[in-house]
Amino acid sequence: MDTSSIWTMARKDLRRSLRDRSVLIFGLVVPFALMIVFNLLFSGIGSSEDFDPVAIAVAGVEDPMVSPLADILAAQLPMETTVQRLDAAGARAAVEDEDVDLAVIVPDGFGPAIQSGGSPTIELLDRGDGSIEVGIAASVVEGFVSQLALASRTAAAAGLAGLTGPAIGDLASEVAQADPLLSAVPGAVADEQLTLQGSLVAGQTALFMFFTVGFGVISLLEERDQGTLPRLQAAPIHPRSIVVAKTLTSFVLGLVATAVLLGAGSLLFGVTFGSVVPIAVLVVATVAAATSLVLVVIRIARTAEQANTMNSILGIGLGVLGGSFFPIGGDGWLARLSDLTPPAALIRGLGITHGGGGVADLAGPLATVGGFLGAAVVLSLVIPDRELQA
Amino acid sequence: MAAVLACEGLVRRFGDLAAVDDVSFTIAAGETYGLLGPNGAGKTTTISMVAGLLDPDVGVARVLGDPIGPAAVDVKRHIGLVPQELAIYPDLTGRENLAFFGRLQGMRKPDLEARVDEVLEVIGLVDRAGDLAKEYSGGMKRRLNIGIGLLHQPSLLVLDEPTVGVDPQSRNAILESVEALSGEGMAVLYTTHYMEEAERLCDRIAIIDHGRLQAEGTRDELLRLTGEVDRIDLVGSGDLGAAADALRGLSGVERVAHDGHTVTLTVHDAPTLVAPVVSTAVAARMSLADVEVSRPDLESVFLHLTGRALRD
Amino acid sequence: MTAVLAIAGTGLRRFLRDRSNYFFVFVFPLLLVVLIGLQFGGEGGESRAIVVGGSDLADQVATGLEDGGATVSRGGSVEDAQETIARGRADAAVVVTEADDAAFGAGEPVELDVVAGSSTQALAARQVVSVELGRVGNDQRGVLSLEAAGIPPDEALAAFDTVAAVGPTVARSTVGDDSLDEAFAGLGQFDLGAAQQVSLFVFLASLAGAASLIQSRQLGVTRRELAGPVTTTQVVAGEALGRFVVAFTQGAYIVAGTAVLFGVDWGDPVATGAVLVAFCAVSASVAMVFGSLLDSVNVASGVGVGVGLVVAALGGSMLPLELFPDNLLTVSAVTPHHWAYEAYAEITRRGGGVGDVLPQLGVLALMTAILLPLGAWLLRRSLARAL
Repeated sequence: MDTSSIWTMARKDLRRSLRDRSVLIFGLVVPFALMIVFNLLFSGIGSSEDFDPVAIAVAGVEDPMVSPLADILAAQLPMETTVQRLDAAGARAAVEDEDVDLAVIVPDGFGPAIQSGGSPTIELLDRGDGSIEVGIAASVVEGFVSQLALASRTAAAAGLAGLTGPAIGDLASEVAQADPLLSAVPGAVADEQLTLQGSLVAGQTALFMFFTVGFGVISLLEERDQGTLPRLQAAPIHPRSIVVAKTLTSFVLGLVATAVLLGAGSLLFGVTFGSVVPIAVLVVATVAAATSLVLVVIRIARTAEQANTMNSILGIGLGVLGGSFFPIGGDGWLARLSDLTPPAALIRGLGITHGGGGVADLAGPLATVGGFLGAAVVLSLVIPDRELQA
Repeated sequence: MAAVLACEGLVRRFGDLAAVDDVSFTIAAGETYGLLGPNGAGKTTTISMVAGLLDPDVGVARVLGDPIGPAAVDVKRHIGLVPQELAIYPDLTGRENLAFFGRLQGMRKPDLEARVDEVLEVIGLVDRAGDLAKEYSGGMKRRLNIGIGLLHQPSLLVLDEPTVGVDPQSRNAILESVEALSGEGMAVLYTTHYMEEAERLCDRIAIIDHGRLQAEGTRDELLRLTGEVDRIDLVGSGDLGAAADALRGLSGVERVAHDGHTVTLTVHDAPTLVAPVVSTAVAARMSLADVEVSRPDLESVFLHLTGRALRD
Repeated sequence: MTAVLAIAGTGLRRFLRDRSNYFFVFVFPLLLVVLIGLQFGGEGGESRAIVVGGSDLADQVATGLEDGGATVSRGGSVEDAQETIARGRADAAVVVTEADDAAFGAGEPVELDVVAGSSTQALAARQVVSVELGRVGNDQRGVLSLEAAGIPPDEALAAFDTVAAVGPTVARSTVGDDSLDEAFAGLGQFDLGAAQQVSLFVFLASLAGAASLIQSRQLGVTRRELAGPVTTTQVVAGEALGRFVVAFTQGAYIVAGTAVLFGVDWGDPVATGAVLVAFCAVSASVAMVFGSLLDSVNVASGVGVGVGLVVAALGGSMLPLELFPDNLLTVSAVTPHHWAYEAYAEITRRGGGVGDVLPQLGVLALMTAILLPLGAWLLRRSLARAL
């Protein structure tokens, strides 16, 4: 096989690919657009910076039992908060008229009801727009009420257990004053955990890799359809060189697109994937696996159009299964199947490199990709060549 | 002179069908050799083996003494193939198409550039060399298709029906350039189902049908095979089958074939037979639009040899 | 009209000749709906939590989380839990060490490490975990205080269990109907996914129609049609109608398929049908705009997939509109998916009829009324340039 004619053919195919804008669209524009849209969508939820101001109406806080609540709301929320004292009807109307975001309505006789062992209910009314700020305010109210509830339950239980008189009151106020016994602190996440943006970039890159590599190898069928294949076969080159050149084209297209997507994606979204060498090893292996799949496709498809269709189906299927859009959860068969796909390996591998892992740490993902590559290559050799000869 | 191409007993089967069955011939340098036969006769399969696209099941084709086949990389260097279908990249320019195939032939700058310019001159595309091939007219695409085959100055040029679907003007240009090439000493293998082309271009002609060579020789040698028969074409409408049957009974008529609107006969001594032929046809309720009498030509040779008309 | 029908019929025939279309239109969408349904259906919306550790406290936390509506699994090591979360296969892990258990038993305040993922679901999980931890802690606090007052542990525990319902509570509600809780109430396993997928796939399949218009132009068929007594509007209407029939058949098929296979409740069939018709009309019109604007089949299919996915994401086919940030929700209103989503929501969640979705139908009809003439105008212009 002579490398010079392989390179000549690959260069010709690359030039044609660039001239046909669809490679750029599939390989770069579409995945970028999706990354941007998904990022806009998902990072809008639950971002902790830049809280909007929140307006709260409170009713019935004259009750001594809840009098600290208004102050807590006014002073302790992480965002700018205004608190108005209204009556119950006024507070409801204020929410309905969108004058305030949240109404906290304490029923009449709240304190006495508690003292007599009852279960009065504080009503929270919001506008239902899913605002995070309102959620935070509501959880503060809930925390406050749960302390009250603890005190009244303790008192009731103490009464049941036979305590009497002031001992009960002491116990109740003691537990009500106490700090929470059990709370959550953020634990260390795995080093390899990608941020939301990191997962988006990795996922879309892994998905569209399959489309990009299709453009090289499938053009073999296009050449047959358009009549140039016999001419290549008549040229003084080894017959196998043609397939090798097409494979090389796919591989180069895949590498370039993946590198650009990962690189530009990191810059745009402020994501880091770790050091270059292990990433390069991972990307080369994954692109090779994706390319090998196209080699199988062209053995089965009769026309370039069929091959494109089949390749898209396999690409989207493997992408979704591999977690390009959302991780396949749990530990069932679906998750195990997901583990075997190149997109899952790439996403996982990028997590590992993100956590500072080197080439040796990538053994798992590389083994997956290697297995996929091997299986595809064997398949492409075993499946009889249907049309290329005739 | 040593043969540029020597085919020895080529056989190629597709399933049960023997597309090419024991075909042997040779072509010398400077010689234009025609493969004349209807569609499906085995011309393209023969060419595929000669150009190294297919291995023969039996037999061997040698180019300049070396066996040719898909793996015979160096031998292919001596062959220029012009496939029947357009084999150009529509999204590359004319110049890029030529340069690409030139590189595949092992040509390198600056020779390649000079040769590309030469070929562009020959095929008359100098002005349009920078335009994408898909913007060319049909004739220009055909010329580019042929130009690519000439680029590396092969010893053997293989042309597979190069004039199918080409306008008369471009067709003439193609035929003239083929004549010029053989004048330069190139061996040319030319397949066609147009007998006028074969008569005009080819030094020797092989008639192929059902995968077998039926006859081979110069035009005159082939004409002699028929034993000096003339041809009568009856053009018209009506029941041509019945007319043909009736004509077969006429003495002096050698062979009869018919298609949708023409009955073709080979006869001995046309002048005396025209009258009975016409009256027999009319009697068989054929209404005649035209009667044509011709001296022996390849069309009559083909009919004589195969009992079929050459045209589609 | 005859011309329009003839063009539409030919378009359909060409579509049906290509077998690979069958897979894309009929098999593939249903497969994806199943996959997405398996993922988000059933336990959809529930937080997936891991509790690491085997102590009493770990058991209590696990029980508490389950009571709080989370799906809980027990994990052995922190590393495993971290990895599971890093890979998005669970949302949060609560780490309970032996030391935590001992301190908790002794009544000392304990802070438990909570490992959370980066997905949007992890946020909700963190909330659930923190609420449930507070609850478990409070129970323990109460029990311990009784013990401190001299009551034997068994009795204290029993007394506390008995009064579980005592004490003030908080009820949260929303004005109007559009609260998240209510919005998703009454949704079955696949309901949400199915409604979103219908729009996604119908739109994608319609955009593929752009390529067939381009082919017609390339083959010179369009020119020939226009040489006859046919207007560009009729040509575009015909091509669009053919594409519309494909889109509607696909949509109806997904609706019927998900209803039969997964028991998705689509509500009032007339209203659902009306929304589908209006949506397919917009989709087919968009295809005609692209088919007239672009000159290459390859580019058209690239643009089709790209635009199809991006617009679907913006229109709520990948993330429920209710979860959209405000400014993006405004942008999303330019997509037909947005209006179809709102209409399906009205029909399937709140039992709406045709009357209830008239505004959405109106917007979709308006989009068609703008896009179809635009397509015709662009087609006329496109004939002036060489392909």
